[in-house]
Amino acid sequence: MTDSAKLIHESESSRLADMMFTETDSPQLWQPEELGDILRHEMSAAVEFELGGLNGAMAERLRRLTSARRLLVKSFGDLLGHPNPPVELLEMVKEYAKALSRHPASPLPREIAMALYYAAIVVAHLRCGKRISKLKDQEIRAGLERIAARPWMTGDLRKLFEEGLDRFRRDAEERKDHGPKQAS
Amino acid sequence: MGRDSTTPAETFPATHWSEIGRAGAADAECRSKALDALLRRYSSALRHHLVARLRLSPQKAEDLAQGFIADRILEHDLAKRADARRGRFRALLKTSLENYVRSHFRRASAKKRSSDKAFVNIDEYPDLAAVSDDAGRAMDVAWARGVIEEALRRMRKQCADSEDHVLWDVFEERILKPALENAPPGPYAELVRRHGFRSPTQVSSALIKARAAYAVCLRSVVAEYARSEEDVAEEIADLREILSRGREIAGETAYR
Repeated sequence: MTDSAKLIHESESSRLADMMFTETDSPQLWQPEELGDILRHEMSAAVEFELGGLNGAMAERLRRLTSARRLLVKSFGDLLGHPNPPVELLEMVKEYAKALSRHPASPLPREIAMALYYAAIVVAHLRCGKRISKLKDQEIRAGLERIAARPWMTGDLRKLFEEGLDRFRRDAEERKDHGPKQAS
Repeated sequence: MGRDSTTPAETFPATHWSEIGRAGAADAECRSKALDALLRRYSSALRHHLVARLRLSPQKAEDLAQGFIADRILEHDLAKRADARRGRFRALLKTSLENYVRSHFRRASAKKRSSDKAFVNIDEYPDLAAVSDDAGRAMDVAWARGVIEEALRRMRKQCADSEDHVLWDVFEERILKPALENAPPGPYAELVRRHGFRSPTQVSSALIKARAAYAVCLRSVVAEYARSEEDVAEEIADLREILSRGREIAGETAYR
C-alpha cells in the first residue's frame, strides 16, 4: 500500500468528506486569517497584469491609457498612492473589483475585491475630485466603515479609508449648510 | 507528505458497469475484465462488509471476498437480472455478496450434515436481521475510501504526466494534507513565495484548477460504476454524506 493510500485508510472518515466534491461546488478558498496576506499581495500586483487578463477590449484600453500618460503606475498600491492618478484607470479598477466581488466563483475573495472597489472610489474623490460611483454617499461611508474595521486591513489602506470617510462627512456637512442640493 | 514510492500502473477499462451484464455482447471479455478490476479495487470494501455486517473473522471475510470475485458471482447476477441496471451498484453488490455468503454457508452446512450427520451449527449462519445499520454502512465508508484512493492516484499521475508540479503542490498543500493528515492548509504567503505567483487571482486560479482537476478524477472513478452523469453527482454527494457522519463504524478498522 502506498503512503497516501495508507493515510486514506487511516484518516478519520469525517475529514475525508472534504475530498468528495464536484466541479460545481464553490468552497471558501482561503481562511479569514489569510486575507491580510492576500490584500498585501493584491496591492503589490501589477495593474496591467490583473486587469489585462479580464478581456481583450479592457486590456487594449488599459495599454492605451498607461502608454499615453507615461504613468509610473505598476501596482494597485502605486495607483492608489499616486497624487494624481488617472480617473479612467480608477474606474477600470472599480469595475474590475465590482465584477470580482459579484462573481460566485471569483478568484479574489469578495472582501478583498470590495476593499479595492471602495479604495478606487475614495481615491477618485480625494485626488481627482471625481465621483465614479452611483452609490449614495451614505452607502459609501457605510462600506468604508465596515471594511476599515476589518482586522486584515493594511495600515495604508485603512488610512486612505479614514481620509475618505472624513471627506464624505465634510461633504455631507457642507450640503447641510448649503441646503438640500447634492454636491456634484 | 512523501510521494508514493511506487504507483501501480493499473489501467482500468472504461466500461460502464451497467453494460457488464448485457447478454450477447460482442466484447464480453472486455466487460468481464472491467468488472473484475472494479471488484478488486473495492475488495477492501467487500471485506469490511463481511466483517462488520456479517461478523465474520477477517480471514474468513478475505476468503469469501476473493471467492466472490473469482467465481464471477456478480457478473452472473447481473446477467440474470433484467432490472439490474435500475439499482445502485453498491446496493446490488451488497445483495449479491450477501447471497453468495448465505449460499456458501448453506453448502458448507449441507456438506457437514451429509458427512457426519451432525446438527447444523446455527451460529455459523450470519444473522442479517440482527445487525445494525451502522454495520451495514462499513462497506460504504470503505468504498468511499477506495474511491478517494483511486481518484488521488489518477490526480497524481495526471500531474506527473503533465509535469504540473505547481498544480500538485497547491492541491497537496490546500486539500490533501488537511484531509489526510489533519494539517492546517499550506499558508497563502508560503505558496506565493514558493511558486512566485504574481497576484491573488493567479494563486486562487491555481487552487481552483487543482480542485477542478481532482474533481474530474473523482468523477471519472465514480462514473465507472454509476449509471449516468446525474447518478455520478448523487453518488458523490452520498459518499460525502457517508463520510461526514463523522464516527467510526464497528468493524471499519479491521482492514486499516
